[in-house]
Amino acid sequence: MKFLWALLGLLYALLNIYVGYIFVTAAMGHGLSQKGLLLQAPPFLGGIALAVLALPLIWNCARLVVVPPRVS
Amino acid sequence: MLLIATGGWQYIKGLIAAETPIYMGTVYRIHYFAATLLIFATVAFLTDWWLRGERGLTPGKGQSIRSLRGLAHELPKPFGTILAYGLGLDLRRPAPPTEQFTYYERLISFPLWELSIGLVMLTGIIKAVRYIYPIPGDVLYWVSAVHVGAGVLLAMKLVDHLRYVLAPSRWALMATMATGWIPEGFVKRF
Repeated sequence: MKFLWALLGLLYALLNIYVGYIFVTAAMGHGLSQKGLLLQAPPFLGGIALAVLALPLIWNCARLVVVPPRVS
Repeated sequence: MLLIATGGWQYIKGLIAAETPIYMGTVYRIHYFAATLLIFATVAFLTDWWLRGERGLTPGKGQSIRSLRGLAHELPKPFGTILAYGLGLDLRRPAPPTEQFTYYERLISFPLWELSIGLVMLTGIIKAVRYIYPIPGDVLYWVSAVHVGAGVLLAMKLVDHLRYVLAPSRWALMATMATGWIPEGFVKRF
């Protein structure tokens, strides 16, 4: 079961990184660059935050699979 | 998950100005259905805790400094040290004993759930009310902005929550949720 959870967590983390990438590229894209910094900043910062927060999840998913349980 | 997926779909569609292969009416209906479930679950949770007088996920009256010291001990050392230095906490004193919930859950995780779910629900209801009662455009603009911001915060919170519960040291508790049993060795560690 823990392999399934690790896979689900990994997929969700990767999806968040992809969404973060879309946010950042959209914030720097043609459409939003004409609307000013106030509308560009939320998707830019939110995109970075989504991607950064996904990294510890990837780390823990890998550890969950690799590290043997301390308590059985 | 349904709310984040359908809400994210709507927001990203507008953000990148793309055509979607999915009929948006269906996306909206799933979003409203999931919102109904969220409101029901939140009201049931609050009512249950209120009737039972449950306070396990709050720091407790007069326990703020003690809880912050517990949090500083629980956080990774660099973060805990910064917190302790900033607030003048004495980390040479031993960590207060953990009760039903950890200090991270009581001081960071649960309040952020409250904030994100509360904002999403409040702004979502105001957005839906516009179909039966006129809401000024300026108000709707800012309400929508806060709704999207709170939605992104909710997605971040879910990432952080999965990071927390999928840590190998807490895996035993995930199995406990399904079976109702907790390994003896895990309990003895606390």
